[in-house]
Amino acid sequence: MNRGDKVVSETDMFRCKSCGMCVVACPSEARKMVDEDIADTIAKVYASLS
Amino acid sequence: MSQYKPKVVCFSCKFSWGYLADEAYLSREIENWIPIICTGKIDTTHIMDAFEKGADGVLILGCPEGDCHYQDGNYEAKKRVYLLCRILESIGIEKERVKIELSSDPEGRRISKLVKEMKEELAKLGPWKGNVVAEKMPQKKEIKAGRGK
Repeated sequence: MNRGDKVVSETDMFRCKSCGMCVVACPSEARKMVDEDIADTIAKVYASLS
Repeated sequence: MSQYKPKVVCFSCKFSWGYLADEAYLSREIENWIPIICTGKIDTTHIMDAFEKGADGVLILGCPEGDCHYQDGNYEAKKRVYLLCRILESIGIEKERVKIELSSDPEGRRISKLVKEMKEELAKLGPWKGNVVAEKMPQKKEIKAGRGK
């Protein structure tokens, strides 16, 4: 590593690049992830409600 | 007359709730249970959708304060729930219908207990009447159109 290189810490990895918020809590990032990951589960559970 | 049975949707963080238990067993045991990777993922629209689809209450189980795997997801969820409760109250809906618990239970035994407790509280409140309120609100369509941005 050279002097002046940007250090990406573990903390930074979990942050949204645009707003700096936690990636799962950031509205833009979280929305994308939720739609991909848990949309099916949510749909199944919600379908069983009615 | 049939007895009113409240329906509770329970979101729980996989990092603090039930990670030592068998997920299939818990999903059989707990009705309408949605395990997620972080409560910060829960959007207000998910909660409102649950009510729209027939739920009477929503329970969110997140990591203990300061222990979120994603740093502050649980705080974000708590803020959202707080704001949502205030909005619900302002339109005449009981804030007790949305609850968040920031704690931990690796074996997941407390989840069904908490759901049961919430059901008992909801039984006293009666069915969700938000849809009736929402029909009267002119901006409902605008809110829906803003989703997914």
